[in-house]
Amino acid sequence: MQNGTTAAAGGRRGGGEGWGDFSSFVAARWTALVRTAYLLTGDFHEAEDLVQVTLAKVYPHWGGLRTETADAYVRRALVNNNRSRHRRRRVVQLLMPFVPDRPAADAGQGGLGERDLLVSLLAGLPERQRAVVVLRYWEDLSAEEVAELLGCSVGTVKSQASRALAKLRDLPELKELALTGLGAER
Amino acid sequence: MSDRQEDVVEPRLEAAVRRALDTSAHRLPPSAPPLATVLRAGRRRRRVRRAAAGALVTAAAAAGVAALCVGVPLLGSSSKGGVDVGSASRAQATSGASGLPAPAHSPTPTPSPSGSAPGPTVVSIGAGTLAGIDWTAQVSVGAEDLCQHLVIGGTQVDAPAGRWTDCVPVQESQPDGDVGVHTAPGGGLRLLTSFGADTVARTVVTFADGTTRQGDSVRIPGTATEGTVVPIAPGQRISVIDLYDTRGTRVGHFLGYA
Repeated sequence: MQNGTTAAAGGRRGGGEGWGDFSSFVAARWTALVRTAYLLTGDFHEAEDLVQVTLAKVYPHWGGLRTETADAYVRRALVNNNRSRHRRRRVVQLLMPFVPDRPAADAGQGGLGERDLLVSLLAGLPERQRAVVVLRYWEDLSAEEVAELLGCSVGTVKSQASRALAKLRDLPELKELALTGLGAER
Repeated sequence: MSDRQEDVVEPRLEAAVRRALDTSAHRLPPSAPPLATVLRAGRRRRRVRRAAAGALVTAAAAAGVAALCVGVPLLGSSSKGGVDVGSASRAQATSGASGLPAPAHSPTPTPSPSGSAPGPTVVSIGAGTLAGIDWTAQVSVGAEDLCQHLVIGGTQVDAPAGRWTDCVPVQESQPDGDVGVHTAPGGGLRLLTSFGADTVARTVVTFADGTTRQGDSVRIPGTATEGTVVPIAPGQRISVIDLYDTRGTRVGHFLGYA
C-alpha cells in the first residue's frame, strides 16, 4: 500500500460536481493514459479497462483535487490499480494454470495484430520493474518522482531500472538501436 | 560485450528504450473516451462511499452513546514509553476479577442504510484521541471491494493518491500485509493502517526514538483480511513497522515510512 496523503487545502477545483472539469480531463488525457496503461499491462483491452476503472475510482475524489496535481494523481492511481489488477490476475493464473493463450484477439485492432516484442518483454518483467521502466522512460519522470509515486526509495528505483534494462538489453532490436546510436534521441 | 562497451552503450540503451516505448505506445489506435461509462461507474462509487459514510456516522454516534452509557473508554493500541495513548484497533478490555485480558470481541458490522440491495458492511477498526486530535478508522466491505474510511480531526483522509485510491478487491489481502500512512491536511496526527491475511494478529510501530506503539488486528467480516490502525502522534517518526501473527512470528517488515 502506498503512502497516502491528502491533497492540501487551497487551489482546489471549484465546488459542485466538477463534471465539466472531469469530462474535459478524461477527453484530453484518455489516449495518453491508455498508452501508459498499455505499456503497463501489455494488452490493449486491459489497458482501456484499467484506465476506465481508475477514472471511475478517481471521480468521487475529483472535487477535492488540486488542478496542478490532478494528472499526477490519476497517474499514481493508474499504477496502483494496475498493481491490484496484477495481483488479481496472479490469483487467477494460480487457480487456472492452463489458461489457453488469448486467441488472435488483437486481430481487430488494426496495427496491433502483431504484438510487439518490447511490450511482450515488458509484460514479462516483474510488476515493479515494469512500472519503473514505463514511468522513467515513457512518462519521463525523474527517479525521485518515480520513487514518490511507487512509495519506495530512489535507490530502489535505480536498481529496479538497472535490472530491467539488463533484461531489455537482450532484445535484439534494442541492442541494435543502442549500438548504432539510432536511439540517441527520442 | 566488454564492460567498456557496455558503459558506452548504457545511455544509448536508455534512449533506445525510450524510443521503443514511444513507438509501441503510438501503435495503439486512438479510441474515443467512454465518458458516459466512466461517469456512470464513478457516480455508483460515489453513492457507495456516501452510503458508507452515512453508516459510519450512524455507527460513530451509536458508539458514542454506548461509551457514555457504559462509561468505559475504548482501548486498543498501547504505547510503550510513547507520547500518548490513543484508543485503537481491537478493544482490549481487562476482566475485573482476574486481571487477565478478556477475549477480544468481534467487531460489530453495521449494514449500510440502503434499500433492498445489500449495501456495504461497515466495521470500525479503531477510534480515539491522540495529542488532542480525534480520529476514526473504519472499513466498509461490499460485494467486491474493501474500502477504508479514515477521519483525522474531522477531516476525511482516505488516501486519495495511494493504493487506496478508493478500495481494493476483497480477496486481495496479502499474507505479509500491506501498510499505508495517511495524513490530514497540514500534517499533524497520522494514521497507519495495515491490512493482511487473517494470520496477522498485530502491527507494531517502532519510532525513531525507540518507543513503540501497537495495534491489534480486527477481522473484517466476510473476508480473510485483518485490519489494524495505529495512530502516529505529530512529530513522531516511524522507524520500523512489523506485523506479527498469532504465534508472535513476524510476518511483515516495512521500512521507509518515516
